[in-house]
Amino acid sequence: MNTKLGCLSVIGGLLLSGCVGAQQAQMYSMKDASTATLVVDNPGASAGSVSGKLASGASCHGSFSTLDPSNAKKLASPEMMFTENASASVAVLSCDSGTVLRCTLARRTGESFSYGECRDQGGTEYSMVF
Amino acid sequence: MFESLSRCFALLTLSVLSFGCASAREGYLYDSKAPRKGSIVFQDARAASGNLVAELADGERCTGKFNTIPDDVEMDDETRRVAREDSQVGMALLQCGTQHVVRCGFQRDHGGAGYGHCSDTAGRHFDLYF
Repeated sequence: MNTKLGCLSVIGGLLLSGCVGAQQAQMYSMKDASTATLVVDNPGASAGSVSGKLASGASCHGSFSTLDPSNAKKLASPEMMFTENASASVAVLSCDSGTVLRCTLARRTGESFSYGECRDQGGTEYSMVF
Repeated sequence: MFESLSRCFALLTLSVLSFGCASAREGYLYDSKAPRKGSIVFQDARAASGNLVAELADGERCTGKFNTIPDDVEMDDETRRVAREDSQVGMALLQCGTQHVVRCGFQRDHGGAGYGHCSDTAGRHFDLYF
């Protein structure tokens, strides 16, 4: 019984610490500083699903995949930096409200995400540091 | 008994040494349109990610975090994995007032020194040196 509880505690701790499972970041609108969330379901994978919630409460769902850093650079703002020795991803999310978010994300190869930014169809940018 | 004490002492020494390695690094945020500057502190300048505190030139205080990816690296010939990150690029996000966020893209060397460029929700721009 005690062993089972111990194992559950360890697994719970790992999940809470972000070592296993989804990775979440708070996104800040660079227009009005409102906050939204982005959740990557399997951040160590080369592709997968993402979800989010805008400040308005609208839910967003989409997917991400890996691309060449030089191509990711063309899609991002100058403050969003990519290198050839790290991994770049692009994500697209569509939200209940009709908003579509196009995101670029950077991470160490094979690891979880470090930072990223999204842009909606109105041109508003959202930045995040994981 | 003696063995337990020795182990405890070794752990304590290691903790103190680790704590000592977490060195803060101070830098400056130069307003790009006025001759004034604010300050910024990377609380653990050598870590791949961490926390930040800043005070803008107008006295506004901000807190935030940064994360990085490798730029120039040295590869291990046998494992073909990254053995050392000689330089990194990264993003820092600072939350200041309720509707004020500062975003910085930066690059730095392995010692933690670097520079970057920032913009905020008010449309201002800053040069970052640390």
